[in-house]
Amino acid sequence: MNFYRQAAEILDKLSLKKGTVKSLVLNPKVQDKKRMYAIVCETLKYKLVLEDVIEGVGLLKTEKKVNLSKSLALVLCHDLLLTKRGPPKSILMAPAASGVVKNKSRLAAELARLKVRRGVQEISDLLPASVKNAVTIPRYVRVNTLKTTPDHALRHYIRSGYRQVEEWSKTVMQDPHLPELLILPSGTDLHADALYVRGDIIIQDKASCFPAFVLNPPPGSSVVDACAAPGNKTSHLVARMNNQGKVIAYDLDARRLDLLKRMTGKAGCNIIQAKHGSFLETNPKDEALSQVEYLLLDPSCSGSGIISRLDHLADVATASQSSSEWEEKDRLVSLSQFQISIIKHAMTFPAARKIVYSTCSVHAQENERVVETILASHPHFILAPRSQVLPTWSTRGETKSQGNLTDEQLDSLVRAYPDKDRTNGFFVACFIRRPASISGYIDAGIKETRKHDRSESEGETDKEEEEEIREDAMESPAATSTIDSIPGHPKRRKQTKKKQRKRAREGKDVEASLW
Amino acid sequence: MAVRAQFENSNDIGVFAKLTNSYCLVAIGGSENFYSVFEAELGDVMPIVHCSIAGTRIIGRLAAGNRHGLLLPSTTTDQELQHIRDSLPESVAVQRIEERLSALGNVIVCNDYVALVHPDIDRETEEIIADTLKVEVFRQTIADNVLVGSFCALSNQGGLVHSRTSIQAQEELSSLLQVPLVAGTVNRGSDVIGSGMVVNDCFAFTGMDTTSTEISLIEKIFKLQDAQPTSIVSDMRDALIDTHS
Repeated sequence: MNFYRQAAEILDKLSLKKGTVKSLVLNPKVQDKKRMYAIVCETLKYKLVLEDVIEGVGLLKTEKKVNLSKSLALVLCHDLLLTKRGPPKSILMAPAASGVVKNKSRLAAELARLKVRRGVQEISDLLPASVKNAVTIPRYVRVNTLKTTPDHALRHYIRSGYRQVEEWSKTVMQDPHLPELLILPSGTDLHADALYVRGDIIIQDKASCFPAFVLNPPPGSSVVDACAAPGNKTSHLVARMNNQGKVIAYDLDARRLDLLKRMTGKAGCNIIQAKHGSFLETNPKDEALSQVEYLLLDPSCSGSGIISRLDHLADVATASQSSSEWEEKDRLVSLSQFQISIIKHAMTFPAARKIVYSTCSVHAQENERVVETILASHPHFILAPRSQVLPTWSTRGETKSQGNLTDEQLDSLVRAYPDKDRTNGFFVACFIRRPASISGYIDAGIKETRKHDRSESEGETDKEEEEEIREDAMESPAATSTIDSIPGHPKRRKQTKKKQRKRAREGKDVEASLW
Repeated sequence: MAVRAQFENSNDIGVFAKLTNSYCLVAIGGSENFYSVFEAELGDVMPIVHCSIAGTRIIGRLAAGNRHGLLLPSTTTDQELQHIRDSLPESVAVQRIEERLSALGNVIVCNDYVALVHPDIDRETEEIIADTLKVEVFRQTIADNVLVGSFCALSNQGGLVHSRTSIQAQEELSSLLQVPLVAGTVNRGSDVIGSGMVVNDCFAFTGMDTTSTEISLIEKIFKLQDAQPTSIVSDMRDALIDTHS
């Protein structure tokens, strides 16, 4: 019975926003993580339906004796009514489930009545449209070209039973836009895959492969990755540079920087200098930095584009309670200020030739609006034309939001939407120096940006990405054994949390609102 | 096929008989006339059991059942229970239940998949009904009447309900039961349909007073007219055209 009680506890915590689905399920106390993950997700999905059923039967009123909380009732009802193979034996035996089990036929009847009332055939038709049509994105893996070739990896998957196709369906396919990217079916479990274990492939969403691809530094150049951890984009950069040149990676969090070192080490990158500290505090006139021509900026963002986080489930479930629209607005404002300051700082690098700015957000405020502000205040930088920025990618800058960007400028921005492009929501802008002003430029903006937002860390996006990695390796309800082998397991997360809380207390938090 | 019958001058044959798809119970009467009507139709198809329940002849109102099982009230004696168990096929589960509403035939109406029950029935009883009869159980009223067993007749093909049932209620019931329903009467205008007739997927028996209009409605809604030429025309025409075209 512990299992159901634990599941109910997780639901309670979720509704209080004390964590995400994944972080709660990956708690070491949870024994059967796969099953727990499944039941929590499914219960959240069907929460509104189950609530109606429980209400209709009046379960919580009639079964006062057995100490039945609402969450527990939800979980039990889910297993009793909605499992495909019928209720598991364990539920019929569990003592705490008795209050629900003895009402089984009434609950079933109420569910049937609900279907009749709504005029639907299948239970899945009862789901609200937003949940039912939630997008699933395929599993993208980037082939680490430092270690192997796309052809070789493709052969590996074909050997292990995948079928290569031109159109994507339950098979392996080479991505049409990025040659080093392979597409596998959504939810493919790769934690024990030989290539993954060796570091020959890296699980990375297609959209987050864009920045390095767009920046495309030639071998031998020197590059800065401003908010680097956990290092997926960094190792992608190194792979594009064929391990020649120099990549300086900054991150504010020492622990996450270790993670970056581990990840990139596994991927066979030798040219990374990982530096602990804020990118905003670097001095562009430093000897090492004054040579830097290419900068990759992936600062903290709201993460509103990330869809694998399952938060939409929890959000639907708690939508009625939340009144945090204002909080959300404030958060976006402070995030976009931080993003602007990062770009401005990058533009003070004397040799900077190409700057790629990316977010995993779908809010125009963090994307097009930021670009607009930058272009207005930094005339010596322009947007790289579409021909240099994924010309074949069809989703470009968002036109709906009113703004001062021209059609041409919008056309040189890259957007990705979960529903349309089957990737996480994403945004990429590529700034290049206006050709005439490459030499001998002194910018008045230096002074103004230097002292901006020092304390606002780059932690946020990175954190999300770390989670992403973990999620990716673990995927859906699969792979219990991964938890030890994947970065950032729950214990460490706790520490991060503490840190953040500390920071939040100091009154300078952008990120605390995420938790 | 719908047949008229009478039990010792009473038209309420649903009171004195219980018909399902795998067995038939008939009350022990003063003469064998009633029994022989059933014997003539069902004799070589299913067991027909002479029995009493709690010493009474109103077995149709006391027992409820379908192909999978038979529920008897707690007042049934051990002897009667044993007799019924011995006479029915082994696949039929016979269960005696403790329920305050002891006229189970009046408070439960079911086919092989769904049961409608009195809204005040015990929760335990509800579970037993679901388990023994292998049905989904719905607490329901028919035309605002709690005695669903009395005012409804149900088979896997269709159902006949109290004539005062509103169209809306009929539609809701029909989608709940997943069979077509019609409001009507038996025995020349009697609303007490459960008492007036018994029905399964192949046969219906109604009281002697039932008019031919009522019979034709019953045959239609329970789909009992297979042998009639009209059905050959409508049902087989497609197949014939398909073969000869």
